[in-house]
Amino acid sequence: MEKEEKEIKKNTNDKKEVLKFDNVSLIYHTKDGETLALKDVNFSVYEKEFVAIVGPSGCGKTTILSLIAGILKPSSGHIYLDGHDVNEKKKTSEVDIGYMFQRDQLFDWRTIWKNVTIGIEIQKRKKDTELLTRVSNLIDKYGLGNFRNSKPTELSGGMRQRVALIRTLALDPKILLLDEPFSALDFQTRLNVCDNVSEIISNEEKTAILVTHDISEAVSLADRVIILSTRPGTVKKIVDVDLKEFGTPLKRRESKKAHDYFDEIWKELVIYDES
Amino acid sequence: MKKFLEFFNLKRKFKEKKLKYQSYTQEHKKYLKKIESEKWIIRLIQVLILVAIFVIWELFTMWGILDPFFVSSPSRMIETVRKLYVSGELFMHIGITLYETVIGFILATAIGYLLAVLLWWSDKLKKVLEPYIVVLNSLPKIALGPLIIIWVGAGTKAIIVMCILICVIITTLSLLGSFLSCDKDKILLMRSMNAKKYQIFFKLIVPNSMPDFISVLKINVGMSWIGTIMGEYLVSKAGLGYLIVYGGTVFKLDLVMTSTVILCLLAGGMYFIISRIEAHFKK
Repeated sequence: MEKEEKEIKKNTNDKKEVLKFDNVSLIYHTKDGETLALKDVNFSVYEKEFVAIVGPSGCGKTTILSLIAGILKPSSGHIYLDGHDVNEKKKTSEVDIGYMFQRDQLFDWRTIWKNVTIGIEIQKRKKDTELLTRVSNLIDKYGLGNFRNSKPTELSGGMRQRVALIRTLALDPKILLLDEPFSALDFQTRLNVCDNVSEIISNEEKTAILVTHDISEAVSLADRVIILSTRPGTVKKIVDVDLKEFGTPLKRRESKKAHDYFDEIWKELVIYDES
Repeated sequence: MKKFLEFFNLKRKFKEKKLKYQSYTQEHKKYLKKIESEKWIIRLIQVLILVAIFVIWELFTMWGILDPFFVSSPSRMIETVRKLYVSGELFMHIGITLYETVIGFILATAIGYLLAVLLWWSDKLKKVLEPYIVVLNSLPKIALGPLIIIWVGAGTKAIIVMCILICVIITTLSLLGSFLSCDKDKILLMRSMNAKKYQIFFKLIVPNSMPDFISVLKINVGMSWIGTIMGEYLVSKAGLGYLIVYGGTVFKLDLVMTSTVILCLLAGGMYFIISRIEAHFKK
């Protein structure tokens, strides 16, 4: 058993570190005072890994994503994305992150194709045929080929989230940030989209961070689950999840092992609630 | 005729419609017929009300129940139009008022849009100018009448300025509100793709505010007519507003009524054009 654990550790160490939080703290300043939102957060995400962040509401889950995106600056500590500090001015206009939101945020006035290629348009790379072909293939591959010229209003909620995911993949970002991307969907659609998204991300070999309040979702999707404490948020525990053998998230969700992971994570959150 | 139909593809469209119609069930056909007939009944009633008003108006003045000196009458209005037409004044007055309104409408919308963009672009500028805009918005613009006349002179220019003053602030405020109401996550999405501010503006903010822009246009149709007629009340030597004021002072109620009816038609027409534009964009 111990040997196995060591082996897993070794494997993760071999992998390239894509994201590193180094003693990151964040203080929110408002007129009424200051709040310590995050305190000494440390964790790493490795290449092609799917990491989920769970925690009680208000613990700063979404704040972590904003920090990675460079929209907020840490009060102390450093965040490294692909070895570079995210808050140092980049020389290239290369897009490092792909953001996916609770709602798909598709632009209703654009066709599906134009929605998916908006990032390419912004980057002024519309003449990059290789890039366009890749996006076009993604659309075909994930069942949206016939809807290229449709408007988002003609698509179902699940399809719209798929379009949103392909839009974030279009610019080939180093890391995907998923901010509760399924919570606006009804339960049945959510399970389906969850499978779709997981399939697409693993097919395209992407690194992803998922923020969610749904423990089963985190367990069924992620390779590792980071548990945050109540405010000020710190990393309470990191749980390695190994459910690969069960296949899709839906099947993983149903497995006995998933329940054990669920209990393990649940306990951490409950204890913190009582204190 | 055949060529004409083909040109607009009407024939094909009609055929498609017919084919589609044939594929419906009996019940659905009945439902469609009901909707169609209801639409026509409403149209019919609308027209009937208009006709009835004019007929009753005419009859009451003919029978002496109403005094045509005070309320005019349809036949006297037609006579007035004829006289104006013969003297060549009719289209001169309509033309002048229409010119002032359309120029005022276009300039006010353009200036208002530009101001809204500036205020959206610079948060600081918005905060600094906020109290001034609020005061300007609540100020009755007619109070500025004498100033306008002295500054730009009596005449068409003054009327257009009045028209612009009335429309511009409300245009800016509505559009700014619309710009700022854009979903924060959508902006975040654009920023995550390294979009520059101008890209966020042109690719997100502008198209996102399109429905609000159309409703601003609709409001401005009404407002620009108010501005123009108010301007003409203040200073003018020609135009429909001038005819109304002139008719009022010399007790020529025929002239007042005729001009008012023409105004109704013009304002309705302009509103119709805007709603066509709206329908075009909704497609």
